[in-house]
Amino acid sequence: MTFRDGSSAAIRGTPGTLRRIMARLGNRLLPPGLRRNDKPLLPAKKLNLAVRNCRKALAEQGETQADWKTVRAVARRNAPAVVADRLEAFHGERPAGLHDLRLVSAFIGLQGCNEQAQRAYERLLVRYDPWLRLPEGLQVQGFCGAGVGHGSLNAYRRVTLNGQCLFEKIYLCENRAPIKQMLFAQRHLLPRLEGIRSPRLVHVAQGRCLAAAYFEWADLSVSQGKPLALAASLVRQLQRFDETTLPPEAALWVYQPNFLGSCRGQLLKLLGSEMPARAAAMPALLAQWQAKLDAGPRSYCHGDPSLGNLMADGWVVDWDGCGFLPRGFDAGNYLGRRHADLPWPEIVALYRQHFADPADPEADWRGFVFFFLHFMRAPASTQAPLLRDAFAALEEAMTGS
Amino acid sequence: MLPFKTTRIARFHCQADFTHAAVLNIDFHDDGFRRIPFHLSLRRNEGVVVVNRRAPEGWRREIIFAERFEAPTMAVDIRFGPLGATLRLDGRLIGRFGALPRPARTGRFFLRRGFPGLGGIAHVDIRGPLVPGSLLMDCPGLDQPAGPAVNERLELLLRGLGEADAVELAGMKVHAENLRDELPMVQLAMPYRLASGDGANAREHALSCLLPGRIWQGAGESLVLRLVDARGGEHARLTLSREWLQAQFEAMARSPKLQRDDLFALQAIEHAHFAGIVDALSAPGRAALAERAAFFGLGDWLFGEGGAVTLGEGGAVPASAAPSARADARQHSALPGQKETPPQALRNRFTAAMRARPDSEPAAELAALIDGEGIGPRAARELVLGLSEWFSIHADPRALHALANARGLPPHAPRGNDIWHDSSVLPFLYCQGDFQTLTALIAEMAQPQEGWVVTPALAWVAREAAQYSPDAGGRLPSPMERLAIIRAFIDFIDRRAPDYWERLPCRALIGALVQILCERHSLPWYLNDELVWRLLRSHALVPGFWAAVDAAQAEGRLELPERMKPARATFRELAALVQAGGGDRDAIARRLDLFTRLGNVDVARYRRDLLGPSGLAPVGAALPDLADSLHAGLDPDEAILRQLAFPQAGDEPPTGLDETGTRRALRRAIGTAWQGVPRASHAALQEAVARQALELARLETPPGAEALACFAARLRPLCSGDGGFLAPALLWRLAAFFLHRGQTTPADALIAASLGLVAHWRPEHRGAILRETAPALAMSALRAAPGSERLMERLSQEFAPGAANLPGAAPAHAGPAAPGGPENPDPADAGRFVFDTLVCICSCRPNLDSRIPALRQSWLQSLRALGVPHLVFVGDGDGRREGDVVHLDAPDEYEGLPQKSLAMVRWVHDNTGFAHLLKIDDDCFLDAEPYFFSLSHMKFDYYGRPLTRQRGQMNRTWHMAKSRSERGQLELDKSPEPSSHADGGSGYALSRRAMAALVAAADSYEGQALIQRSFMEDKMVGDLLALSGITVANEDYRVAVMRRSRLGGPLVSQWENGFLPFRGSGIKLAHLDGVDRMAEVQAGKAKPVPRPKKTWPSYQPARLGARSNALELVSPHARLARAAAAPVAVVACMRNEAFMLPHFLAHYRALGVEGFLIADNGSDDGTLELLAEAPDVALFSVDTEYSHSHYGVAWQQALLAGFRGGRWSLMADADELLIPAPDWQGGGLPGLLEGDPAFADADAARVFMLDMYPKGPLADADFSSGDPFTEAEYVDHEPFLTVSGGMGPFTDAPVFTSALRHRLIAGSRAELFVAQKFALLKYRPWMRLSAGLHFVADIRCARRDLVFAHFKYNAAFRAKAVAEAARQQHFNNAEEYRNYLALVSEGREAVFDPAISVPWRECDFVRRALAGEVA
Repeated sequence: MTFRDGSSAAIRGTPGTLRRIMARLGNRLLPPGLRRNDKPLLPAKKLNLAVRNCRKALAEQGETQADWKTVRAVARRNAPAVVADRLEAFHGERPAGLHDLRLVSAFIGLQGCNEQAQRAYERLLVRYDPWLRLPEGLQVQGFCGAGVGHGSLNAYRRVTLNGQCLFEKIYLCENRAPIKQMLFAQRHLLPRLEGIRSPRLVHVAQGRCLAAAYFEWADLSVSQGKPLALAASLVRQLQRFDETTLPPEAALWVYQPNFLGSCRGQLLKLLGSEMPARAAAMPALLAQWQAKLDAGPRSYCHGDPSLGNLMADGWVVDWDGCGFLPRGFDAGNYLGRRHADLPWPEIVALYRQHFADPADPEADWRGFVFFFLHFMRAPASTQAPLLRDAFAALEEAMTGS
Repeated sequence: MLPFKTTRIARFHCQADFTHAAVLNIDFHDDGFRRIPFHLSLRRNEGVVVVNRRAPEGWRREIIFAERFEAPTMAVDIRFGPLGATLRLDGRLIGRFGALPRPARTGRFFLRRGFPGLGGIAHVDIRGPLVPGSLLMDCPGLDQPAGPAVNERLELLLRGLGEADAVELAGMKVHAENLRDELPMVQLAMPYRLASGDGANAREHALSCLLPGRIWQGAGESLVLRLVDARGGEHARLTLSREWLQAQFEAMARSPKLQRDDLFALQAIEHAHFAGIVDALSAPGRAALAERAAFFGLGDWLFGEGGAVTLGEGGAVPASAAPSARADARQHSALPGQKETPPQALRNRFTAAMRARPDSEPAAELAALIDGEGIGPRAARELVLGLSEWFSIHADPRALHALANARGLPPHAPRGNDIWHDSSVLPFLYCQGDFQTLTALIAEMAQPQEGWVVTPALAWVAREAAQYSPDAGGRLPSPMERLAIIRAFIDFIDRRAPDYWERLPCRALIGALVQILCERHSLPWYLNDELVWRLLRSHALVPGFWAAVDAAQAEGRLELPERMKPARATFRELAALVQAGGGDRDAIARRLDLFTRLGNVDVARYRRDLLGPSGLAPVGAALPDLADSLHAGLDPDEAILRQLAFPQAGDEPPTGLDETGTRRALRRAIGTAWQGVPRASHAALQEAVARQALELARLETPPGAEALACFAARLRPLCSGDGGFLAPALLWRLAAFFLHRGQTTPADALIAASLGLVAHWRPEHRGAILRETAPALAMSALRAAPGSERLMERLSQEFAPGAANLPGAAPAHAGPAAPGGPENPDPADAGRFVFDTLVCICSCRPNLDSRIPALRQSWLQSLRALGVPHLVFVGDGDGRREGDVVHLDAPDEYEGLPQKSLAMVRWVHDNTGFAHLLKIDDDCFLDAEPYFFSLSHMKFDYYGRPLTRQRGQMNRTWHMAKSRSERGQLELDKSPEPSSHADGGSGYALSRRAMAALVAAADSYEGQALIQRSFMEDKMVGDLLALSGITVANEDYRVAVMRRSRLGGPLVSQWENGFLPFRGSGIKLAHLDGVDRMAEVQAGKAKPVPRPKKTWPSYQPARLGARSNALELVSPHARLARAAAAPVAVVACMRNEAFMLPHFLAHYRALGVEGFLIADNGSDDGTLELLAEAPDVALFSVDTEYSHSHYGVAWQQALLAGFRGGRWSLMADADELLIPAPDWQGGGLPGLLEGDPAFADADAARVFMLDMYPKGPLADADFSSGDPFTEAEYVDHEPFLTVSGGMGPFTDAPVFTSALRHRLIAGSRAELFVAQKFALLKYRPWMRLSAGLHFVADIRCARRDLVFAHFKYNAAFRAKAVAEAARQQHFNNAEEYRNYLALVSEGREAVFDPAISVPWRECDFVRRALAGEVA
């Protein structure tokens, strides 16, 4: 990670001494948070698909109050074998690693609201992180959904604390970024945004590996409002913030170069398949462009303005990924995921109309095109022409200045 | 609401019309309106049909049917029979709904309750548009009286006629013996089926006449009505008697219809007024009538001005205030004649005792008081609650709780709707250990809401929680409970902080916050951080907070967090810079940057105050450069608006900035400031393409395919719902124009381009855009163009394959080329075709020679240049057209306006082919370019400035003074509410579809009834269009409405506060109330600077439109410069003060005041004109309602912050004259402030308000003949009472209230009638003014007080009380004025009391105060 003053800190795995100890003592003796459990049991995409299939199967069976046994049975039939194995292991109350935790929490939300399931889930959390003290007087209403967060667990619960109805989200704290970024947004951004609301943070129970954050409950199940208008308002308001208008803390969370790197890989794959003739020259070209974006201006971004995070009445949730990112990130992310079914000129029109900074319409353009290409989810029929047009625009933008 | 009986088999049929609206609701009510046995809702957008019923306890579960709504209309057929109801839509059976329960999987016990009570339906209420004339009901149970009869709405009806009978009897009139005019009978197609008829003749017809109340004027005991046919023969005769009317009224008072049916109630009020039978009614009948009259604001009209109606209980109150006065009586027991309630009296006695003996034990004192009085437990409980605040400030509420417990008083619990009560309860909840309720209550209070929060009680609770104190039983809150309380408290502060008027500077709250800050190490890390950030956000610019922090640090309690240290240091530097005169803008801006980074809520105000156009610059300094202001960190758009509109800015465009950029920013700022007017998503694009379209059409040689393709590509964003589908509309309009010129090649290219825009759409979506106004009208214009058949065929294939005619399109019309248009248009006519609008100037014969020539000299020229045609419409004619004047066959006087407007629309619809008409009055200025180039008007059927009236909001006697006929002068406006319509005074546009709908509606049954009841032209048009579901839109419709209060007076903004059109503003129209300023506005149109000049309070952003708090400069600049530079100036807000004004000005001039800054709030008694002439008065006009001005302090803040920063200003009302002390020694007020050391380092002074009154009756104190100080020279011997507790937020000192007013209105709450003001201020940006100026936070008060002589009690008082009680703009709906009126009505005209009153010079308090001995 690079700090504003130019210093950098590289966290590549655990420090050397620990690595040596690990090699000697084996994985099992380490505290759970440091356990080497490198490979996810199931890639995120597959995991989500498995959860979705299981939910569908449960609904078809008419199970609204499923217990853990039923969930496991359903998982056995509808998910890869590894899932059912790990769920059985959890039932056996064996110690769990991080990936176990992720997997179990993705499925545990399928249960109905029974006391046993809640206690089991809480035991799971505490076994993983013995320092986590869930607040006293917490009354659980039940699971209320599942997410796909990278920095948080997938099970969300609805709880009451001191008579107030709250929403519980468990953050993973190996890397404190998500929760800190969320706190930063709560403190400094949300009070300064107009027409944009987010559930307020009420309490944080902090452990060493996990932190449970409790937000005011808001009924966000209502139908979609005007996501385009909301996304535009969000992007334009966040554009106004730079390092001089936010408290110094903001500067800690500048974007991770690594992130751009992953963009590059994705892009290469897409473009390589489309323009094989130029594939060889592309890595160098992209590296050059990435350096340009790295050096370019940054603005504050939400980081994940997907449809699931933009609700009716101006509700915007999931601020875990916010921070200073290259300009145009949010706009490219939103339009790439939501409107990639339109032809390129219409996307440009949408961008100019709704997202471009009226004071300086060209400022975000390069970043926008770059991230649009990265996040683009176009239907197969229109993908090729869109890729070509957008890439041409990117080429022009990058070489033009 | 129509009668509909289902006692036997009944049938209901109608045709829903979804052309403009999306929902139709039909409710079948029972007789008493308690239940709705059957309800049908057709919702097109949701694609569902819903059937339901409503029992007294509420709606039942909806039964939902999916429905596709393919056609724009849908036939609804409901049959009610003995076994239930059957619903059919377009002939398809949808469902049967029986009375018995039926099986349902989802119902309880697997049964769904049926539809009981279907046989008891008595009324049907239809909400939503129907195809006119399609409603038909067959209900044999309905009584059909034979011959003429008067129904309960006092409507004379001749029913049961077949169509042939109705035609034969058409033209019938009603003669009343005492009326000069005849009342026309309207022919109606009733929505009922005749029992005898069959087939086409089955519909019942009727003749109807809504009888006006004036038929009773001059009538005897009975009244004969004769129905006379067109040939003069008498058809029937009807006799009505007063006795009958009285019986009707008694029945009416008991009827639930009185509350529901406004026409019914208005008829009752009007008839009661003219028949003079109010006194003869029984008490309930009278009360019911008075209540309704008050609801419609007709109390004065019904009972005569200031007249009182005696209610059964509660004494006499003025009729206009009856309902609210009664409500108050329940709440506060504050009406005269009632004894002061023991808890209030005891509370005052307790606090007085504690002031006298500060060392005594409060709880013991209170216990002794309760025992001594022997009051009951209920009163004791109320007393204890009332003292919650006092104990929170001065003692420990635990003692109070213990006392209540010891006496067995029931515990206190929150009420939920009374924030004063709930916040007082907080300490008791803490003592009871109910921390959960406590937290929930604080969280609830955090939502901004009306009402008084007892901040000391809240602060006490927070402090206790921070210190981990136990409850009364010794139990500690658990850590979670403690955190929750602190969290909720911080949230409360945070949520309320952005509102300037909230009591954030409250000392108790600040104390609690500092206490929590001291204990912050016991908070978890995230809350600890949060606390610091939030405090920096809410309090970093509040001096009182830093003072408290310093004190805590000095006591060693607090170790200041590192993060707060830079903020404190910077604030100190900032304060020093401001005190030093604030000359160094850069230094200030640099320091404010830190607070911007912190997101501080006050920083915007500081910037406006310090770096805005006036700043704290030295007297006479030039305004800062605009570029400087932009770089000072203000919001750039708002900064431009504030600076260019600033009263001291010149009329020359600013230099040093890119002109186009400034103009663009200004326009954006105006759009933002005008919050009530939505902005088009693509406004700039719309304007650009409109200009380009016109250029393309004006080319001598038709443009090539490439140019047209370029143009079409630019239109792409407008091919969406957001863009109103303007893209195809513009292309088709241009194509039509080329076809008219015989040029088919460009037309072909344009059609191809339009098809290209929608090529990737699905066919059904393509068809759907033809429902939208702009494409529908453009297509029908294209169809009318010569040689368009081939193109139309192509379009129909693409847009509605298989259909012979395009669905949903407007009826074909001839287009702008038809009568009056050119046969073969040349390029100069392009505007006519592109905009396709006829501007209709609504005028009258006398104005043809006066106003119309002025229009021709001004804006009609720009209109001509644009190629848009216009016509002038006058009445009293025969429909002929002479030049550009059309003589309509309609009345020409004021009250004929509704008919004239209808006739105008009908004329345009029948005689021209224009797609739009813009109706505009002859006293308006239209800036043609912004209006037409914005293209917004093309998107909507009905376009103008919307006025929305809820029930009871409309002034139903408005037309009476302007009318000349008996009908106009005597009849109420009985048009329906709620209603939304476009304001007629500021112009509105109708599309061809709206014209057709209006003409059809005017001919329909409902329309006829509406016209009969309406007097306001614009409202009638809106109501008629609402019948077809057409509602008004105002996208980008920015207009200025200016009026003068009297002939020849200054022209000032009213209702819609805007600028006159100027270059680049996008303001479309200005109402100028005449033509004398047309030339001036025409000249100013080209300059890029806004006029008239305005300023806004600095605590709020600059706003335009209604309730903007914008102050508009009326007097010349030089006067303002002089008043702003005066060492001492008087700042005042006034409304109708012509009576006191000469004394006011003379008095302060004599005291050495050299300048006055006065905001006039809509005076119409000559005050405005008087002030405009005074040479030392800088006059502003403000049109926001007084009730939205925080008692005028919002405007005073604007004047102080804008012009009087750092200089002494005295805020005085017109009836407040400062009493000079003997030691002022001729130096006057400036001399005192300069010379007296008591004022040396102060920036504020307290002023007592001494109530002065005459010795005799108030009517004798006529100041027009003499000096107020001699006419009303008496004061109470002890003029002031003191209270403590109740005003805690800003001061610990006792608060002074008026003894006189408490004497007059005994039993009032002790904290009412505060008689002190911090009226003398040297304004600084950190000062927080409170509503009424009774308190100001963060001041350094002078060691000497001043005294206002307050001349409220004089000959004009009664009239003022009447007016203010009716206007209800003062505190608690003008409670005080209503109470005074009640006194006056008891005959207590004098306030002098020989035992108490003394001449003011002999009053001891006054002598001491003037000598500087009170403070």
